[in-house]
Amino acid sequence: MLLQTNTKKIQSKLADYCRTGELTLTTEVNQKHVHHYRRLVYNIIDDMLQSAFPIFYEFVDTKLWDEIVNTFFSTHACQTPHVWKVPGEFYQYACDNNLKEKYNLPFLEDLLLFEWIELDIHTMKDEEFPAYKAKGNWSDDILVVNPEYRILSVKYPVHTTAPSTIDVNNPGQYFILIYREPKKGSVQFLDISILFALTIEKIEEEKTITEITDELQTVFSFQDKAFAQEQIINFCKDLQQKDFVLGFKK
Amino acid sequence: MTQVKKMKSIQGKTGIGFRKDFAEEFLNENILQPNFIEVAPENWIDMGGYWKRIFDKVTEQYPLTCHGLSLSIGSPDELDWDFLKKLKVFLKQYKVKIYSEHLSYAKCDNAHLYDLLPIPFRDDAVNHIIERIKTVQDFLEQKIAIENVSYYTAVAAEMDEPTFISNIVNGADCNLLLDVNNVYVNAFNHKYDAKEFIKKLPLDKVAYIHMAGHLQVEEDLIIDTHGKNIIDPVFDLFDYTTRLIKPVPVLLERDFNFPEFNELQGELNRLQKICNNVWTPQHAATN
Repeated sequence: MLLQTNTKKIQSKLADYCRTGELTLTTEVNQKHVHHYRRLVYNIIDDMLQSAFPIFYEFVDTKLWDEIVNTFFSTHACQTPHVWKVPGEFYQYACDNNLKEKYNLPFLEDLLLFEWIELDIHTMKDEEFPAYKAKGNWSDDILVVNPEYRILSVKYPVHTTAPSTIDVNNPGQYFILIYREPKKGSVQFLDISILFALTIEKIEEEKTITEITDELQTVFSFQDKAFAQEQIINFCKDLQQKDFVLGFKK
Repeated sequence: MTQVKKMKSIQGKTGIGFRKDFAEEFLNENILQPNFIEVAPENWIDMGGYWKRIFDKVTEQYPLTCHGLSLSIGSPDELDWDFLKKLKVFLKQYKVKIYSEHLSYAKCDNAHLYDLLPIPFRDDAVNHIIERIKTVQDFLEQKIAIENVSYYTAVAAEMDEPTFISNIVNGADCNLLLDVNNVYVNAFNHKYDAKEFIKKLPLDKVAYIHMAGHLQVEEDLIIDTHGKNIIDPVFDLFDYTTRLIKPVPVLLERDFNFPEFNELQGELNRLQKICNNVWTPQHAATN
């Protein structure tokens, strides 16, 4: 390292000031103008998080938002060189530091995850789409699905209900299918039941719907297995219309 | 149009910073017609889906230059090799001939800051940065261009700015991206003569020029915002600069507060006119 300790310390102090707002440099900088660095750096993070988490930003008052963002930026060392990926680090930071308890917002992690994944799916690297045929047997052929998706399991209905009206005393189990529509690249999300979440999981394991229905019979004890299978097929047909189910394995 | 356009040289030509904010309009209309486009690779590496398609479409039509944000060449931290590997693939994939970065640091103590902090103008910083630029150039297998940045406070400086820049550019044998607006901004902020400053730079190393608008936020301070039109004195300084250097690509930076495309094209036209006035006869004579 050709950089001397003193120079390194000065650089570190300026960077630290930009992250925390606490200036420890004195004669080394112009005291009148140095605050612009803190302002500019902070605004980049603040703007990025506001645009990534619009629902949460709308919900919280400005003072709390500022406190959360300021604490995040001053205590978390952002690792990604891509500023548009910082919201993912922010979500992880909220989980690691249990912000939902700290701020008494039980749905916080679910909401941040939902908002972040929507962005993440939109920008994620292109996945290779598997080969498939358009026609097949819905019961006995293996279905092929769009690989650009995630299924989220959340305790609060952050995808259907405004944060201010979520009943925090009644957590449940909700599943959200979020995927990138292949033609336009827009992100779609669907509220799905646990039955259908498990169905998609088993389609990924290359099981036919007949096999899936048999396996899920042990979980759900269907009164009418044929009807259940029909419901699963109808769900998959609907997903084909929505460009999630692509077709049938060749 | 597209392939022919891509094959043309961009020396002495004007381009524009390509932004997602106006991407669709840019591709769908024919009003804004730069000779090349520039992007920050950090904003496109690892990007898929809709934006990847847009990017592939626009890079099929226009020559591409890249202007980095996160290399943090002046940082005390180690170089980010994971990032550099991705960067190299990206530059090769899109056949980027000009890759530039800021003479600043954007990461320190293992934390990214996503903005450009001023480096102390000191000998040890010069030597440190020279080594880093050489390392990066060796790895990327191409020269990089280093940009003079605008700054709002000097930081524990022990030499003047042109000496700092010249020592680095000459020592690393890299190119210089001369941001004319930054010279204007710094001359105002730090009270020096912009033309004298430019004359002290290693002008034979200038490979690229940036032009932009700025914002005066205090009586004695201008911030380099890229959010306004270029002002006349910066055009004048550009005209002055072009007379001192060989033809290079000239980029108009506009990052927000976008005017109508006609207005942006007007700025490009004005820049191109200056380029043509100064460079075309000389260029023709030397080719």
